[in-house]
Amino acid sequence: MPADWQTPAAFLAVAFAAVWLLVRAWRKRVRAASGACGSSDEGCGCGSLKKNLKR
Amino acid sequence: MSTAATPRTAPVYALVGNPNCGKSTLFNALTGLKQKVGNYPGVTVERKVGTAYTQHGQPLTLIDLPGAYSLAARSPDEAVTRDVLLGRRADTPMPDRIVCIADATNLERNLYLVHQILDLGRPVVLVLNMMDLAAQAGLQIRAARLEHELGIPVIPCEAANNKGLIELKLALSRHDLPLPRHAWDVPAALAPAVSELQASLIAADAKAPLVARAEALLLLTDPDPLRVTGSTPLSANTTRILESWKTRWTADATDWSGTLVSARYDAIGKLVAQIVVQPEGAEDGHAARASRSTLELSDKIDAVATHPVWGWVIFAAIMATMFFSIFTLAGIPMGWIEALMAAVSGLVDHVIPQGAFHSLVIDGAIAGVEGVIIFLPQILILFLFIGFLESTGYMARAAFIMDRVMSKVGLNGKSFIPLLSSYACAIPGVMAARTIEEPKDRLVTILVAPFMSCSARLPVYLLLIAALVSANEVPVGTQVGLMLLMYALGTGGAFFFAWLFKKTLLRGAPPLMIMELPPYRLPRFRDVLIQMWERGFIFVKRAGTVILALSIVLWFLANYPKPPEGAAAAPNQPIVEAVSPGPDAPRAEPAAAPSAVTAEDPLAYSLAGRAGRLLEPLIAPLGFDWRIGIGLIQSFAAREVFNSSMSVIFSVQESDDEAATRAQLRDAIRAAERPDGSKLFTPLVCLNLMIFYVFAMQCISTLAVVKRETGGWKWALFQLVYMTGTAWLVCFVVYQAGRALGF
Repeated sequence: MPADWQTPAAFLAVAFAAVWLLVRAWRKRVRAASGACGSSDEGCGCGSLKKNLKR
Repeated sequence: MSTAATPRTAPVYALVGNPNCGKSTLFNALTGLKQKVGNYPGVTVERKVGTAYTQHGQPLTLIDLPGAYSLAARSPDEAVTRDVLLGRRADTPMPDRIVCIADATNLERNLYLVHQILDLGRPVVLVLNMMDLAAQAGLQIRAARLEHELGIPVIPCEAANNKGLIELKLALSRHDLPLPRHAWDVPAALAPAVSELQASLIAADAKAPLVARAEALLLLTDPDPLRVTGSTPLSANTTRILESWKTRWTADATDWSGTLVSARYDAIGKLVAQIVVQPEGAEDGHAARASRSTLELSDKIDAVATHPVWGWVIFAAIMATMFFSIFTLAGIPMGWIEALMAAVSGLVDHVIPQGAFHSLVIDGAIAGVEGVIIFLPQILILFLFIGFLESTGYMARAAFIMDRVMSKVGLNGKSFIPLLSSYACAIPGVMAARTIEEPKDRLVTILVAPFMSCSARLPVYLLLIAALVSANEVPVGTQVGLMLLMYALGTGGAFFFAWLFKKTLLRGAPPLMIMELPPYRLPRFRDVLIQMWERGFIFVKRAGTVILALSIVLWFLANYPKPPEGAAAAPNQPIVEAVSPGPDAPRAEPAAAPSAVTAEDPLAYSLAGRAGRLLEPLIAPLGFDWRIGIGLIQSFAAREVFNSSMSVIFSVQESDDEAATRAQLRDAIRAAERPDGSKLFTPLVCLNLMIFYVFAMQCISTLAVVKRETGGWKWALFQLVYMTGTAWLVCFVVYQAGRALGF
């Protein structure tokens, strides 16, 4: 293992978190535009409904 | 007997009925889902889709629709029901079959909607829900007779107790579902108009014959045709026919709308007389109602709970009890969470050697998540109380007593249900405003709903109250009082702006409140616990996803770029000098902002520090420095991220000592200093920061939903500007006045 493996690992984690946040924001925007609830976080039931429909 | 065959693909069933008749409870029982249920009208304001399975494993698609009293929709939620049933929604399939749910304790009123739906000539299954409550009230309902009269399956049911579900599933899976044998006498004076409108709707609007007749009847039920047509305008010919008949009836003073409604109720009344056996001694509907023990008890409780004085006392006592519980009961489970986080932190500290990744995990991820997750017990207690209040029927009473205040600010108590929902989260609150009929009142409600202190603000208040006053130094009542003050400030702000908007931008007379007060019921513990669990899960999920990711990103922003080598050796040297391009460049003066940032401070040198410093001139007059500014910026993603930001910024270290860990973030905040050595989080600053969180619009998700509900960015941006502007102005006044008074 390289001597300073921690800095690249930390940057990788930061990049992953940043991309995940951006993708999430974009998906929420698309959901809101489609007339769906716009947020699966606020207890509207979208999340469980989606799971149920997939099943 | 004509029948409708089962469609080849999974048939689509729509669940419809009056508000608060148990549609969502039945939907949950059939699909196994956990849709929110509550003992007050208007819980469901949007269609919900789920899959149920018949006794033979055949899948059925169920659409749970918002409650409606009539297909002539008076509010946006009722319009959803009307449009789905009439096949007008592009995003929802036209239901193959309709499941009408009627509250068996109030059959006459519930059958009005059923009667309108039967006009559509579609296959219908009628569910008589709450049969247990009807039996308790001494009512005997002859379901078989009703089935015979209407020609459709009638299923007695107790959705809350899972009784009658097998019979219902068998009825839903029937291949030969009969079409309704539905005939009633349209008044002679209106019959020619119905025929003429029906013909026009078939020819010019391309409607099926029975749907055309049903729509013709609806057009003659309500004086406002928009309540029937919605966003699908009538053809010119149909409009001309309708107007011509209305002119004729106006000339000869015919109450056409009243006549049709009365005729429908007459038909229903005759039907109910045949199928409902009133309790002994009850000669008419009023006497029967008086004899119902449940309602008698409800009336007795209401005499106190909705009393002009005692009603308020009870309301205040419930709120105080809720916050008292939040402060007193949460201590032990908070200790468990802290111990868990300390153990995780200790493990990571042991496994990963010192370095950037070690710092990211300990100071970024764990500190950020702990700053929020620590408040899970309080969130659970809050939703336990909300669940009990909703389940018992008290919410509707709270709306009733609030109506007196609401009418003074130009709204009615119906607006208070969305405002109450906003105590949990502004998003369902904004959506619940769909139950409001008057568009201007609905808009005002949407604009002020985010003032109500949502659960995301709770962790911020708790942290700042802990920093402001120590539980060991002052009685818990002081903390409860501060918390109540924040909630009261938000509610007062909502009322003030509702009044202001109704006087200026959105003028209109205060509407009368017509709201059904449901009978009190014992809370259903299962529903309350499910709701508490769901909200707790959402809170934990947010902490483990969004807040974790934001904490990691903030760790990077708060640590990079690093100050140049040797900068730390030059204490109190302004940062601008440390990064100045060359020796010939003019020396920059130290920043004029309240905090002179030096190169010895890596946080100030970082990207987050620079962003905070950019914001500092705006927030310095409120007593906030650039470090608080970083927290405020991040709070736009989620308000509770403020706690994570503070944890990351002050680099809270975990320790194995539980007591020390518990106090660390609070103590770090208490110990934080300005460059001149004075305390950063003075009591005045803590109070001001809480006030800022009460008034500021800091939730992107809410803005997105407001944009959708109002049909554009105009009102969403207006809301962002006026709320955040108000927060700034109030905080400016409080801070400057506080300073002038020597605080």
